[in-house]
Amino acid sequence: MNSSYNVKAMNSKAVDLNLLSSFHPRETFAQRSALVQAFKFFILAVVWLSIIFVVAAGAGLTFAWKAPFVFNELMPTWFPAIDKQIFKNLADIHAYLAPTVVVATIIPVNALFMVLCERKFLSLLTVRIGPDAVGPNGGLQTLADALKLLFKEDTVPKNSDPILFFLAPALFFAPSMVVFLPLLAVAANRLGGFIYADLDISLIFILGFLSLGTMSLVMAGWASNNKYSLMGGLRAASQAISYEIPLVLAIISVIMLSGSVNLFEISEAQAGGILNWNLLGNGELPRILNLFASTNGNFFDGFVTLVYVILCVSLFLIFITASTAEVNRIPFDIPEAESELVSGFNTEFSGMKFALFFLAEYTNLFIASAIASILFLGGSHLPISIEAEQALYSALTNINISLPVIGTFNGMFEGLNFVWVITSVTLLVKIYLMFLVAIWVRATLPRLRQDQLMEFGWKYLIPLTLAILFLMAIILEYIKS
Amino acid sequence: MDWNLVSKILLPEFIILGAVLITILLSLIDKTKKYTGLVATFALFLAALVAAISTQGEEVTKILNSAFISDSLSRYLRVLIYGIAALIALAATKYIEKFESPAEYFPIFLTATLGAGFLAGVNDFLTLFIGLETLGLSAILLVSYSRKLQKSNESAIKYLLTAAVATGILLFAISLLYGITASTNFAQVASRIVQLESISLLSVPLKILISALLVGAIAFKLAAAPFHNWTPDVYYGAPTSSTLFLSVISKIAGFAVAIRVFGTVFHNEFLLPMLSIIAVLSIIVGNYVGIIQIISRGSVKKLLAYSSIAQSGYLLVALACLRLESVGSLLLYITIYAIMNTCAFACVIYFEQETGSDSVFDFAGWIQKKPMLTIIFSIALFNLAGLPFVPAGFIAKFFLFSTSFSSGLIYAPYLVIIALIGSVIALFYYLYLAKLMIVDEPSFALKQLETVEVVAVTEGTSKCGYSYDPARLTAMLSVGVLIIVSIFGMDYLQGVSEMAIYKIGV
Amino acid sequence: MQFLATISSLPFYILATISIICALGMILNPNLVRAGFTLIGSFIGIAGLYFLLNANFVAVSQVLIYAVGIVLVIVFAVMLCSLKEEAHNIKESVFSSKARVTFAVLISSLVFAVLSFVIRSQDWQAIAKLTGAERQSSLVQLVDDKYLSQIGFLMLNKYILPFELVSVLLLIVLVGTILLSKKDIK
Repeated sequence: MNSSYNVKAMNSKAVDLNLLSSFHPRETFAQRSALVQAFKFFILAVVWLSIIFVVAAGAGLTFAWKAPFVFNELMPTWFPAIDKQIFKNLADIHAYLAPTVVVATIIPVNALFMVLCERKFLSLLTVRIGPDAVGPNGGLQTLADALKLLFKEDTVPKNSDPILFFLAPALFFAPSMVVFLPLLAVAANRLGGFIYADLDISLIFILGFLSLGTMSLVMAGWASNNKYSLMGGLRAASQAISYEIPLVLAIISVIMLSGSVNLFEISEAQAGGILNWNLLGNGELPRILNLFASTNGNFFDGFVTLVYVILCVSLFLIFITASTAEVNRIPFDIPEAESELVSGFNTEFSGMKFALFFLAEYTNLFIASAIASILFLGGSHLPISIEAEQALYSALTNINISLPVIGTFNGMFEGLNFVWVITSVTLLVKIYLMFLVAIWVRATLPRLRQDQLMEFGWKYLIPLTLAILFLMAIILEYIKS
Repeated sequence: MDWNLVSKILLPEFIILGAVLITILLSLIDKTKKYTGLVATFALFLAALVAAISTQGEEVTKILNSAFISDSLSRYLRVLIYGIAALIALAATKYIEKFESPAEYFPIFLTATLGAGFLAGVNDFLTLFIGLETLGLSAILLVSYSRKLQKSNESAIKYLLTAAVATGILLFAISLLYGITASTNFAQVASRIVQLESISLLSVPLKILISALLVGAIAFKLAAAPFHNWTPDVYYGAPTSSTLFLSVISKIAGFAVAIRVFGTVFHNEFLLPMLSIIAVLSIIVGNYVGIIQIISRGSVKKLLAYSSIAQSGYLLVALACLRLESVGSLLLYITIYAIMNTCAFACVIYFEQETGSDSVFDFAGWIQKKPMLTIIFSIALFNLAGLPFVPAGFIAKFFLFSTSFSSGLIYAPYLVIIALIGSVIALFYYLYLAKLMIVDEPSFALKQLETVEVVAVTEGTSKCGYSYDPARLTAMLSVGVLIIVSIFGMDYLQGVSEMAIYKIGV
Repeated sequence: MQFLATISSLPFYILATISIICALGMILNPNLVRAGFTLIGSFIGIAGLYFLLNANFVAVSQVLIYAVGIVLVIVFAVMLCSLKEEAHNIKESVFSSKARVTFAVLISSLVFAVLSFVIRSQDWQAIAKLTGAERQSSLVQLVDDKYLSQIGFLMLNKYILPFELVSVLLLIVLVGTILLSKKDIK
């Protein structure tokens, strides 16, 4: 009893000394039930997701609708001397720029929450509290981290290649930003200015430019003049090359299934409920019931459908595996394995350069989750029937909002279409669910060794995906006929 | 698309393709590794047979959206290519065993032959490009096959770099042609160019440039001067069977392309002078350096390389005249040349297997060891020189020169005279080598061979796993074909080759 | 309109400058690894030009195959080679470096002059008028929604022979490459 008293006394002393903990008395996980923790995490997620959404949507609206309105309607009345055509061109340019602006705003805000979300959810899974000091329930922790990184000294190692060392983080970040654009076309339901972001081959575009990031990892490893960094860069390159093959092969199967390489069209093909998702065989699942129909000799049909659905699910799993390797996440994070390579290719980077790497890695993960949810989980469609969704959409189109605040701005909200709110929120939630799965994987699986990684990729994953591609081509012929 | 017709016409190619896959599978299993060479030989022979006896090619048929043309010329050349390739594959079966992983030689060999076979019936610039790449890249692999040897690697790199430049030149010509005609198809390109010429829309510099680029790219494949610089090094460094492949199959494919492109697609007044210049240069360079090679007692492979440059020159003389008769005699000569060269190289392969050397000096006095092979080698050399000892080579050369002479081209007689002077000079080194083998005392390498053989016999091991050496068999077979042709079939062969060129389709 | 024309041709000049500067950097850079990275930049610039020409698929293929696939592997190989050990094996050329540079510049400017002279000597407008109908039928179809399926259709119909021949070629090159690069069997 005596000793426990002493401890208490020491604790109270510590409270006096530690200012921070006097504001936020620390509590252990056991003091709160897991349910409460999960609820707090949920509230945090809702708040942050709405922040992300509002910021991105605000930026998008400003450029896609407000700016054209201002240029087309208001500016000519303010400056009647200037040719109207110039304002029209300026309005067009702003509309074209809208997707880029949204990307530029959403990436940093999103990465802030992704890091926080990862830490909080990981602490939930590993029965810890996680960051809780800065902001309510630790909600501003990453913001503080980002500020800290901004003010850190930017060190350049001796005998490094200064140009490449400077370029590598930026070039790692650039493709992630470019690749983000086609996703917006899906999220915004091809609306307004966002139709410009919609490429006809957006899926291949994303694959192509996402793999450009590997180049800058190699560059970073080389420029650092550090053998661990170089090893990390080389590992990143070999891993990216190896796992790109099963990734692309799995995607080819999905392309066959949907008959398109446009993300928007792939998403459209999965409208109307969970059964229509590519994960569950794009609406063919009920045909499995033929297995149990004793008459008609439809057993074969049921069996083929069963195989088909199994293939679809395994494609999803393969896609997740390969894309986890592509974005260097645990259990495939050997390019930056702490226990072997310090921190791999980003060992020597500090301050904003390191922050850019960090930002780009999380953005890549976000993009991979986005592709997974678009390819397999119905994209931007709610899991409800097509009719219900159409009814919802038609309720949201042609809304007239007149704001009495500033009279001159009244016209700009006429005939607006708010379908994009539903689609983008749906997609965002699905992406974050996929992200939670990635964190779950991280909390569960240990890291692979380099040779295990290569062996798994070349000896198991690639032959498996090839076989699935082959089977899929045959079965699709039967299923779709 | 009529797949029935396609499968009928491309049956030889399908056989070879099947053999490629079979040989790859066979090379994976230890027990069956040694049969890849025989499978390849058999498949190539079968393909030649099928191409020869098929009724396709009697009339002009275009298949696969005019990507491939089946006419008398493509049939003739495919039979020739596959038949000769079968002989080469046979010669290589034992020779290649001294290299690491010998089994994989034959899938590559078959693919290279397949590329050459498609070039024989090429009717589209895209097929032309891909066919040339199939042939070229596989040939690079064949050249670099003995990767332990530095000279092999060196020659492979040289070949790769020069081939890349040649491919770039060809692609530039193709892109310019596409720019003019908006098509890659031979018939469409030809008709469009005729149309443009008729209203004189094509500028003269453009015509000259396209001709020059096409001639340069194809002259590289033909190893014609001044695009010959890769030849001696590559021929010397490569495994001898690969050298044989390059000097025969690659050359036939190159002439197939040249005849098709220059004869039917792209033809103007600047083309023939260019070809003539190349022909003259090849004859001069090939023979001049050949003599230097024999005087300095260099490598027999290099000697044959220079001789093949000169032979390209003779063939180009006929091509430069570009008449039906002269091109017909070109086909006849290239047939005889292929057989003779195969025979000569098979002897070199056999010699290399025995002694491990290919220097001119080591060939001295070979007659005392292998009288039969020495005579065969000498016959091949005589024929390459154009001597009427077994008259095939002489007759073919006679036809080549006489048809070129009477072709009506203004400067054709001068070309023929230069070619004649060249072949007289060439006589020297061919005969010198023959004299060396027949008259001189055995060289040190040959004398040493005896002791090695004695040791081998006393140890109770046989150097040769085959009951009959394949390279020797190849030499015998090709010289047999040569003799039979020259005694019974010269008229027939000439008729066939002339018919082949008369029914060429566009 | 002048303003719009300037704006719309601006991306071309930017991309062209990027690719030319990167190509020059690739040639002039003595550091092999840096040269490799600048080559990637050049390829990306060319891919951007393809995007401007509405050839999206070609552009992405350019990035995927050349920039990422080939050059990355080259850079990878260069990094693993140590030039210091091999340097003494490299023979100096007979010509001085100045002579070599002069010669190279001379040759390449000659080639450029000849090509540009030849291409400018031709009246392409007239040819375009003449072959307009064919180009219309073969190209304009491609630049619509079904752009990629058109490419697939052409590959498996009009150009099936080259397409299938390429697969044979790739197979055998794969076999050959493994053969050349595998470890020696003791």
